[in-house]
Amino acid sequence: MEILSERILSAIENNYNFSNVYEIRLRRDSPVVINYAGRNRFLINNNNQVIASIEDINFTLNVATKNSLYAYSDQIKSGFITIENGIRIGIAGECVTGEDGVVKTIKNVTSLAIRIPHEIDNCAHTALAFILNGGIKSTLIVAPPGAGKTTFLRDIARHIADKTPYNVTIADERMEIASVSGGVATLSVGKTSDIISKTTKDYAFSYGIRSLAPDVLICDELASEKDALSALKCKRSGVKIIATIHGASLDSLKNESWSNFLIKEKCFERIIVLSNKSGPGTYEAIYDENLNLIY
Amino acid sequence: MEIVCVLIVVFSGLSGVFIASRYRERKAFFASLYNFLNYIKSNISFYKTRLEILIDNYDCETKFKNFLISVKNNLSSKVKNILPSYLTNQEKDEFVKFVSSLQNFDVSETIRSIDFYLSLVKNKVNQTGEEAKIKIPLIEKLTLGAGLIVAIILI
Repeated sequence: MEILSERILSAIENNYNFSNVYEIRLRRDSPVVINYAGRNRFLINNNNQVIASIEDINFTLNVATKNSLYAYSDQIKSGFITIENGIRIGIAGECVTGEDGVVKTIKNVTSLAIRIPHEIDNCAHTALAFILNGGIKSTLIVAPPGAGKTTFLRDIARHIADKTPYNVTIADERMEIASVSGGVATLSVGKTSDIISKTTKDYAFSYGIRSLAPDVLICDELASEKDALSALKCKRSGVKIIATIHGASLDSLKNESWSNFLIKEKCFERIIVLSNKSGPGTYEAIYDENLNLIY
Repeated sequence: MEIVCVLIVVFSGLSGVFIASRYRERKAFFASLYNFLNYIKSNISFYKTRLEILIDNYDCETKFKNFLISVKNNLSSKVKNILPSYLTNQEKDEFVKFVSSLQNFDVSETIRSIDFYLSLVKNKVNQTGEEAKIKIPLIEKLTLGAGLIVAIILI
C-alpha cells in the first residue's frame, strides 16, 4: 500500500489487519473512513481521528499514477484509475470539459475512494455447482456495490480456467478482474484465461469471439444498453457469458429497461443474487432462466 | 628542472582537457536527451507507457542511463537537485518544467509538451555542437600554450 502517505498507512497498520480492509476513503480535511470487514468506520490512531489533507490526496494520486498522469488520462476521464493488483481509486473533483462537452480530465481532486480487492479462493464454490451443471451456463451475478461481485467473478474465472477444458476470455474493461500490468495478470484468473484489457465490452466481445474462440466470455459490470446488446450478441454467437451487474435483487433489474430486456430475452441461464448481509458474497438466491428459484 | 617543465606542460594540457570536457559533456548530454525525447514521444503517443517503464527499457550509454535512473528516482522530490552542473540554471528550469508536464498532463498535452521541448533541445544540440567545435580546440591549445610558455620561461 505504498500509495498511502506514511501517516495514514501507519495509522491503519497500527490499528487494523490490512487483509480485512476493503476500502479507504480520503476526503480533503475530513476524517479518513475505512471499510473494515464490511463496516465503515473512522480511522482512529492514538485516540484521535485521522484527518486526510490535500497533501495526502495528492501523494496518493502521484504515486498511483507513477508520475505519469498521461498513462491514466482515459481512466481519469471516467472518474477512476485502476493500478496494480486491481486496486481501484475513485476520484471526485472538478470535471474539466472540452468545447464538445466531453469530460477531458478531473482537476482539484478533493476525494479518493480506494477499493482494495482481496482474492478469496472458493468463494464461488456453491455457485459453480449451478454454473457448471451440464456444461457452462451463462450467468449473471447481481449484487449491490461492495458485496464482492468482482472477487466472486474472479474466483469463477479461475476455477473454470484451471479445472475445466473450456477456453476463457476475460473482458477486463476497468482492469479489476485480472489487473494486467506489464503483460502479466497481477490477480489470479487461472492459467488458461485470455485477457483483453482496457477496452469497451463491445470491442472486447467482438474481437474476443472472432480471434480467441472462447467457450465463455467473462466481464464485470454490465452498466448500459450498449453492454446489454454486447451480452446478447455474445449469446447469439453461441458463446456463454458470465457477467456482473449492480442491483439489490432480481426486482431491481426489472426496473431498468435494458436489464429487464436481458432477463426477458433469457440471455442468462443462471442469475445469482449476492448481498452484504453476512459480509461480502452472501448468497441471497440463485434463479434459472425462467426465474425459478433453484437455491 | 626539465622534469618540472615537462610536468607543467603535461599538467596544463590535462587542465585544458578537463576544462573543455564541460563542452564535450554538454554536447553529449543534449544529443542523448534529444534521442530519448524522440523515443518517449513515440511510446507515449502510441502505447501511453509510463515514464518509469520507458526509462527502464531505454537502451543508451551508461552515463546517460544513470542520469535517467536518478531522474526516475527523484520524480516525487527535487529533480533539479540531481541535474548535472554543466547545465545552466535556465536549462535546469526548462528540464524541470518538462518533467513536471509529463507527470501532470493528459496524453495530447504531454505530446505537445514533448514537441515543444524537443525543439528547444534540438537548438541546444546545434548550439553545443558549434560550441564544442570552436571552444574545445581553443581551450586545449590555450592551456597547452600557456604551459609551454611557462616551461620556456623557467628554462
